[in-house]
Amino acid sequence: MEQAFVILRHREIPDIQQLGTYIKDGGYEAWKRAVKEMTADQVIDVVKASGLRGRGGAGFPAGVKWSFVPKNVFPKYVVVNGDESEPGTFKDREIIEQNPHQLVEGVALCAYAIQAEIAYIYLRGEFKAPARILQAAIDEAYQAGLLGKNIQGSNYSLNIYLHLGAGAYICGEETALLESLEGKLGQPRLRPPFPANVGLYAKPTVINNVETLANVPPIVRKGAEWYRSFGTEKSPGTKIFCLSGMVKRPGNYEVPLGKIKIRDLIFGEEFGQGLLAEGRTVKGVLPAGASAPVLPESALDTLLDYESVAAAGSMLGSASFIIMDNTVDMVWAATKMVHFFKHESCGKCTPCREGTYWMLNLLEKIDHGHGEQRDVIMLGNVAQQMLGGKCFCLLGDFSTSPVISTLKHFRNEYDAKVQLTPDGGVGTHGAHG
Amino acid sequence: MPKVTIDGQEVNVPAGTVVVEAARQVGNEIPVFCYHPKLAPVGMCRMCLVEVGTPRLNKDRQVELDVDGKPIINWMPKFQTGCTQVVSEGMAIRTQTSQVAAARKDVLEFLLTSHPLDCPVCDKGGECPLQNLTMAYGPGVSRFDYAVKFHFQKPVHLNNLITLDRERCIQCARCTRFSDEIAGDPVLGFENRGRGMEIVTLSDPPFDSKFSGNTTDICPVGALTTRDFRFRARVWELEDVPSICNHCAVGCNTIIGQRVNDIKRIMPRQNESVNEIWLCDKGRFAHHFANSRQSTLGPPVPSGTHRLETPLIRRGGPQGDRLVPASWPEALKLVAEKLSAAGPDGVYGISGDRLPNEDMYLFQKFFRQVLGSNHLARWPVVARGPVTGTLFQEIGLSSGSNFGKMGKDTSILVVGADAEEEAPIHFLRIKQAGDRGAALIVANPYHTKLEKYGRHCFVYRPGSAAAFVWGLVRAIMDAGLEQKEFLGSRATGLAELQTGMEQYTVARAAELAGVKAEDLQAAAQTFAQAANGVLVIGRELLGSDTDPALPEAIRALLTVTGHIGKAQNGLLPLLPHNNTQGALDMGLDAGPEYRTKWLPGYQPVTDKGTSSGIPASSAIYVIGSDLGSESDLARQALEAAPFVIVQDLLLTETALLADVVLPAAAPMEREGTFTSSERRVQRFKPALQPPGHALPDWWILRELAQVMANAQDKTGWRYDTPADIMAEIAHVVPQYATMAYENLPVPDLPSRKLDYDDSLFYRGTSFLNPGGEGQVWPVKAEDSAVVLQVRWVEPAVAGQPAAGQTWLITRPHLYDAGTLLSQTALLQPQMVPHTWLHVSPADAARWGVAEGAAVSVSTGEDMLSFVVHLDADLPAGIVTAAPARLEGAAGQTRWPVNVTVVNAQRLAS
Ligand SMILES: Cc1cc2nc3c(=O)[nH]c(=O)nc-3n(C[C@H](O)[C@H](O)[C@H](O)COP(=O)(O)O)c2cc1C
Ligand code: SF4
Ligand code: SF4
Ligand code: SF4
Ligand code: FES
Repeated sequence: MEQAFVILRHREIPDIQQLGTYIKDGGYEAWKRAVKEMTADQVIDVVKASGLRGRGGAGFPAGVKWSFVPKNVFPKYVVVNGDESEPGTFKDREIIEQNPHQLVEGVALCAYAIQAEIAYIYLRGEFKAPARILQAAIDEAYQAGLLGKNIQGSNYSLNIYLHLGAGAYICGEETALLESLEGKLGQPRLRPPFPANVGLYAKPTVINNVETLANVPPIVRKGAEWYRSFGTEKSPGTKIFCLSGMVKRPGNYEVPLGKIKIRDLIFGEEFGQGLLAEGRTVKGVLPAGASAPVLPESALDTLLDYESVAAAGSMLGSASFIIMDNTVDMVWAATKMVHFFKHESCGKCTPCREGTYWMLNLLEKIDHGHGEQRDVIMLGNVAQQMLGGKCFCLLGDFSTSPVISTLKHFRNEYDAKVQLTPDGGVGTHGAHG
Repeated sequence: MPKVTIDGQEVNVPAGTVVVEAARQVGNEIPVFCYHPKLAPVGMCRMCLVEVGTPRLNKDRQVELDVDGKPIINWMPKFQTGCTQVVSEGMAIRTQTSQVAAARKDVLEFLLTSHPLDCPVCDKGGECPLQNLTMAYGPGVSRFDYAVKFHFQKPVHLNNLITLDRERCIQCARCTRFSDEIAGDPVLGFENRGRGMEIVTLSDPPFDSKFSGNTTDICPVGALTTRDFRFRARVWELEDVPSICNHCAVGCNTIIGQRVNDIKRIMPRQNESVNEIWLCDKGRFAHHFANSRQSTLGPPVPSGTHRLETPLIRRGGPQGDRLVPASWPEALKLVAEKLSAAGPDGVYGISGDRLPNEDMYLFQKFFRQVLGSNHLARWPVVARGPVTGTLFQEIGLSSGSNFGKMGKDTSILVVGADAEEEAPIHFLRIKQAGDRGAALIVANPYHTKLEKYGRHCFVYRPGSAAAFVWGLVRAIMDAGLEQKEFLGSRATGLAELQTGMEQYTVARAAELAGVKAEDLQAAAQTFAQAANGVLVIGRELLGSDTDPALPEAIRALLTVTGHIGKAQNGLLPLLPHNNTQGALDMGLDAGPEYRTKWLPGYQPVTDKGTSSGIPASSAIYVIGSDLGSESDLARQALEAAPFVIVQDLLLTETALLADVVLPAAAPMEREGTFTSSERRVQRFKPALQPPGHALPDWWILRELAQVMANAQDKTGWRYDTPADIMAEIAHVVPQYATMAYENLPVPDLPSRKLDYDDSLFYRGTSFLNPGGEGQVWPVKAEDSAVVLQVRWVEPAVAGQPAAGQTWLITRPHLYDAGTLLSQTALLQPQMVPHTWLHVSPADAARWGVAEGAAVSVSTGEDMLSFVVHLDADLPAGIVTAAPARLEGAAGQTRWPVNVTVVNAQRLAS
């Protein structure tokens, strides 16, 4: 299976970050056609028909989301989620740095589709350099009359603004992102109401991931049918897979959904080219950074689409594959990941704020060789105790994934760690309150 | 009204109800921390998890039924938060399952993992929702390793009143939501994240709010505590006594927490018609005057202000005249002799407006009956005319009104009042009514905080309030918006009014008031078209040199709009003190001549004429007023008087001028009633013993009357308790006919409030008020037979300041550094001294004066000296000073000065 560069066009066309090159490749054709010839609903319909699903994690159909926006409430907003904070995720960055006009055009098409006249692109705070590149592209688009007032002689106007966050994972969650954009503390909002109705500044708002919107220009230009020629029925199109961890060739790979397996991604010549050293084996795969349950080696033949990964017991999410080989200590890995969630928990709700703190304490204790068997059991309990609707947002649920999945697949490693304690982990040492 | 099934019980609840409230209706408690019925839900704490399902619908959107004909319920796979889940038709809710019980236990266990568990030293211990809900729903033991608890540095001060213990905070956002939503002071926020998330203050000065104490009541843990109560008692040791705030005229219902004859704290008592569950910080903290003798226990008190414990008599001695302790019989005998000797024309009585009704009634009765004199006056001099008690009694806010119920159909017009400074809880409730959709119209000579919520806002030229109000009247008539039907049967003088106003166009009014004509018209339309209208006026309009046209304009405005005589309509004066209204009702409503015109109940004085002013060389009897510290003129009169009796709590500046000082009991040391500015008569109970030999004022007056009436008839003076006096008032004062104590119940609180229903507060620390909400006496206009007389009186044209001159206006401040307030050292940073002249930065620059500079100001008659205080919110061209300072200090012809032009002269700073 070949890669297919619907989004990572720069891999085929160098210099596409320059407006001229982008236009030569057919860039902004869709945009000009939309403002001149298409109604807003026609744009929504094409995107709906393409079956494009959100690339930010949840995989919700983009066109359907756009159609939820009330028609006669103004102003409305498009907000682009470029927070890209999931560990192991670096696809949005490549789009922004290498193919920025395709994102700008996608943003414009989305804004036109819902008749928003303002769009904000929210980038994670560390994206200072990418932000400069994107701003340059936006400026070029303004100069070329592709943004601003009365675009291409139509009566449609659009302004796009960039905003840098201040470095919080939770600000990738769409409602926390809105709070942050409004200048408030980044914490998720209560839902309902949903952003489509009450979003930025309490106005109807569409929030989409960078990659999601970068898909839109080719869809509008070449049609839903063309788009559906990639991928599967339920997961149409291509997806960028961020491959990292203990592979020879980490990086972004754009592949039609449902066409290759996890194994191909790791070992394929065109992809990861195998593990770092001879004789190593895959121990665990994180399909969506730290948020999704780790998959064991036995899942390597899972196809890479939303449904198959879910069926294997994890989720495709942002498709950030972190590969861990047999040298990795899974208790250590779980500790690292829970440390991340504890650090990023926004603190709004009790179970996540306290649960991540508690899990980390237990994990560190076990990982440092001070744990007992009952700490391992308690760890599992605490993680379970956070689930079932107890947390306010998904970050809390995500934080249990490393714990629950490593306990499920690698319990022996926990047992081995507690064996190291002087009494073999039977539970008579250590101070308990 | 959706029908929902809660734990198998069906119940209809109003649309929009959240599950926790719905469950209450079937008697099932859903425990909560972050939810509060007065605040927008946030769903943060996750304590209220329940199982929720909705009826399954078939293809035709019909409810599918099971074999028993019951709807099939689709249960949601995850728990829902009962505080945010709004009910819908057919919804099923389970609050009592083992899963729900387990979820509650889980959440509590999480909460406790980082809780410091310092209950033994926590002020909240004993009334703490976290303690209580843990006992009810929590795990018996914690599995969390105590050694790895998260720590913060122990308490930090949010402001000089409130202390924050971040370890105890459960991050429920009640305090931030209270400040944002209720108080309108968005000065608290969260900072940082995760377990490190902490409450911080965002303002400078920190936690800048007049309502900060309320956050300590609704904080569900001991994270927020007051510095006043900190470590001063365990809550279960307190005796909780129902009382009424004795500061401003809102009449907030309180609980005094007393121990060993010392006030440990003051808490709100719920009264949804008065203060809901809130208190301002003055009401909560400014109680230290009562125990100012106990300086070793509480915060230090200013020197020389210890409570009086025995009568004092001025005697000559080797060091000259001194006030020396005396016995009650000695003191009373001396007073009786002097007053008898002075005779009816040689006596003069001045009453404060803070005493309970019973005492003020006896004071005037003592003068009128025992001394045979009508030489009575009241201090301070507000509401003495032209806008006076008779106007309130005619068209005041009708009984049955409740700001808590005002919303979209109401317009509230606030003129010449800084509600937040004059009546904080009224401000809060007017703002809240605005939040619910009431149209607020705010008009003042300077900007006030209420403008933030106003639909129409005006800054009128100083002294032009009457011109402004007449402008509204004219605009209403021009637009044909007067209530013709109402006017037809209820008013006379309309035709004359119309002719009289012919020349007085809206444009003319706008010009006089310095506002825009179209704004005036828009506001007039809003006010006239609202189904209900309330006019709120403040201190600025209550002085005795107010334009005589003003009461006529006010009456006309409320009459033509029909905003009169029915609930949620009428005139609300923001009177200065807790019982100014009671003073008016008890016949201490003196006219501008400083001589009372009215007997109790607004019956005119008919006996022989009296000269104006304080008669020279008369014996003066001052009760409950420190006018000597406020007014130079009063001071001079007192110094000149041959004999002065002062009856007070403290050895005030006035008392120091006395020949006899009689020690009185504080309000919290006796029982009685106060009448709020809404004319609500409310009873309070004694919480403390008076110090030493101090006695309640009524008791002293009774004893005095008995001594003086020795030879004559004593039968009229057999009062054993204030209840006996009130029974007499109920006979004498028609408005008080139903106010006998048996009709004014006060709750007999059980020793601890947790013993009874805590439905509203979820075991917060507000107290319920099962004893009713007091009684409001109806105004004349409520009687549909009463016909109102409207009359055109041309408003006075306020002169423009000449070159180099500027306006001087009285402006009241909540923390006005008055005699009682000054006893509370804790509030010192908030005080606004009487000596301050508030000056805009522009004017200060013009005169070349800086903050703290000494300036003197000439009113033409008087030279007043002040200290400059820069006030960035003040418009240029206006300076303001405390009413006490101006009303007391102005020239010989008239005591109170409301608006005058001054020359600011630069002195050495
Ligand atoms: C804790 C958390 C973090 C998230 N971080 C990101 C992110 O960094 N970037 C992103 O695009 N979506 C992120 N999401 C998903 C967004 O909430 C949202 O679903 C997405 O922006 C919608 O866009 P899409 O439909 O185009 O995927 C996150 C969600 C959660 C719960
Ligand atoms: S789950 Fe975590 S991140 Fe989400 S609201 Fe709760 S504390 Fe914040
Ligand atoms: S200080 Fe109290 S009220 Fe404020 S968030 Fe913390 S626990 Fe809640
Ligand atoms: S608003 Fe007035 S009555 Fe209420 S607590 Fe404050 S000072 Fe007392
Ligand atoms: S989440 Fe419902 S009460 Fe806190």
